[in-house]
Amino acid sequence: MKAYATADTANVSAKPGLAARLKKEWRKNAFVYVVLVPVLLHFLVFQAFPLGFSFVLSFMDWPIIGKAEFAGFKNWETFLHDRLAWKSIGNTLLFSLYYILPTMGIGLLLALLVSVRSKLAGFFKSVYFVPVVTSFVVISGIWAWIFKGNDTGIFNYVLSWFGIGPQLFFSDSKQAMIVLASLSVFKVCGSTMVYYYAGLKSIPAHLYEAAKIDGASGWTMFWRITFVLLLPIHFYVAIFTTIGSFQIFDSAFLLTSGGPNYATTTIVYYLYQEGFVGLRMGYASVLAYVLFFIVLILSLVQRKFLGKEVHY
Amino acid sequence: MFKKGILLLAILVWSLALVACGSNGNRDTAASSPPASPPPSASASGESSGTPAGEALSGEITVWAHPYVSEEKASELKAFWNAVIQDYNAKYPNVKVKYEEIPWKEREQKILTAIASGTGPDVFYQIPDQVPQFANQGVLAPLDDYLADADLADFNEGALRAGNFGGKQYALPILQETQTLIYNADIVKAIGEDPAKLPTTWDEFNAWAEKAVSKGYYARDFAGAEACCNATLYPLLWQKGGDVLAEDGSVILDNEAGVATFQYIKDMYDKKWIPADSVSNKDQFPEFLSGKMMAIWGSGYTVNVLNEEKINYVIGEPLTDKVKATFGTVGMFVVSEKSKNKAAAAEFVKLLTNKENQEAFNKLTNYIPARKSAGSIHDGDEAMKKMTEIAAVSRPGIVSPVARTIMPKIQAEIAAMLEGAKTPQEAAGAAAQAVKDELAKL
Repeated sequence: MKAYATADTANVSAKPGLAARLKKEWRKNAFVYVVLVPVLLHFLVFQAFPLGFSFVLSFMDWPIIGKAEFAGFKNWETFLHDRLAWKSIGNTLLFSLYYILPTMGIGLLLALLVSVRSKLAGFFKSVYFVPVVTSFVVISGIWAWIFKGNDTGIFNYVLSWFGIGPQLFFSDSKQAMIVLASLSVFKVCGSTMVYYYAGLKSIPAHLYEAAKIDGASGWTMFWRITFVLLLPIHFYVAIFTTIGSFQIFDSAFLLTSGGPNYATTTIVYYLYQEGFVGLRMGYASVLAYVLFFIVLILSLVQRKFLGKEVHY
Repeated sequence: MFKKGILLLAILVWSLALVACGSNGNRDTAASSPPASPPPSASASGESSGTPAGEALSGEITVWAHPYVSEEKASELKAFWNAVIQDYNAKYPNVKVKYEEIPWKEREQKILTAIASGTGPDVFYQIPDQVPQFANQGVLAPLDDYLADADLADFNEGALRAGNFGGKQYALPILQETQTLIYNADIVKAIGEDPAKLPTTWDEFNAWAEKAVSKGYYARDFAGAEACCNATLYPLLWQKGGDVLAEDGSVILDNEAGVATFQYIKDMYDKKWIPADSVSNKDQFPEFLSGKMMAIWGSGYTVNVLNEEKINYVIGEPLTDKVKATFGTVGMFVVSEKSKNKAAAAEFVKLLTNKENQEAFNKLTNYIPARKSAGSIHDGDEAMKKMTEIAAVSRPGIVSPVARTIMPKIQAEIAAMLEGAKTPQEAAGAAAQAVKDELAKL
């Protein structure tokens, strides 16, 4: 240990040249760099370059197939006055409201259910996870079938048992977003279950034993031990469900085409429409950056309030 | 030593991976490229002469088309393309034709990105509302210079017009598909009407609709989401004597005929002639198939399904209120403006859309030929014969660079109206304003 310290001090005092330091670094970590090359290349080509290119595009008029022209801040100004863009952001926030907490809550509930020591726990774990590995297109088809907005729909048939008349679901601008969000909750809560299950398994058993000795009820143990010690999982799940909710596109594309009357036009669906149907890639890039900033700000806020370290 | 060995091994693995990628790419290129690149002068000489002689054309052209038939008939379609290429090469032996079948799904994005990156096809397929948009962006080459020897009068007028934008002919049609109301003959009888005397006017249809609803059936479908507006609003609008754009390009969607059409749709909804979920439904065919609906808006494809399902159906005439009109799409082939061999590509499009090839293609795919001289191929098939007759009054949608972008906006206003958030007058006005806004973005 002492020898290392002496050597470091000697190096600092000698201040070798950049070439020498690079050479030393290469000799020390060459293998790491060779292995990293493909990952870094992938990152540069598919992440960093598009990020920079789309920023440049946001100042251009580029119809993909025609000539790109410099447009200054025109696209950014258009965004400020675009009623539909603001509505799509509002819709996305509404979707997040319907999606994030239910996904977390149901995921936690399922995790608690499959943590119960039972021979069937493994079976149910698989059952709850099936929607996660099933294609979104397939699940969307099932959802369209269940929530058909006339008396032939399965859910409407079930409602009729309770004397409730047929609901329009996707054809009602007040209900469409809720039904879309429920589809995403159904699809994703299997994933959150897995994260919560892993979190539950990492909570030391002695905490529960101590609580039991102190006479704590199951309810108290859940809120005072389980829920609190799952904070890192809450943070992670909250981040990925929030990001996921702001990127929602497939269900709006597959089931409602953003309707009725723009009720399910989310920011990504609107971005797609502007970019690939309207061929206004410059404006679509502005929308992409707006989405980027929203997700960044939300992630920072969540990190501030949820991202605390937990000590067992 | 061990560390160095691992390092060398990693570099070796990477080198092999790169070589493998490279050799793959080379192999593909070798398989698909002609033995030698065409001399630039040869293509240039071909382009400069309006009707080039066979020997003057050389080089390579790439043709992108789609699976127009089901899996079972895929080999027959491939044989069709082989025959076309063989015919073309008999006339132009120095041109190599590279044919690629592109799936229907997301074909537009594939074409756009390929053309943007300079690797796109020389010849590709378009439908009417794409041609003005692509032509407006300078993606399509005008074909007028190559059509001196083409018998354009033989094309159905409407079909040929679908490939014309700004006075220039950008596309030659190969197929037509027309849409109309198809009735369930059993339901027609159940409401006390004669399937041999189908409605021809709005008034007649309205009377039937009342009867159908009173017997517990839906009168017709109205797929307010996906099919808007070619299969929903536009045919009704044209039949009422209205349109989205006037001849001079001004927006007339909210004129008297336009508002009356919006009102008619609202009435159909309120009177329950169409299902309650018509606001945003994409497909109400199941309701028709299960015998809950008197009429469905359909095409030749619908007829095929009804034959398979053994449904007793009758094909209706396009209805008339003031004008007899309906929607019918047109399939066309175009030449890319970026093509390095435009003359050869244009000659290919001409050959592909000639009488013989239209007959062979449409017989196989069960579409309607876009040439009058090929119109008799469905004579033995009553349903397709009827569809061919209807094609005479078919319109290819709205011919404008904004044709595709205005549809979701109009659809949203119809939805707002059906939900009761806007009156027909307000919805038509808002839809017209949305069209104006889109036009202003050009």
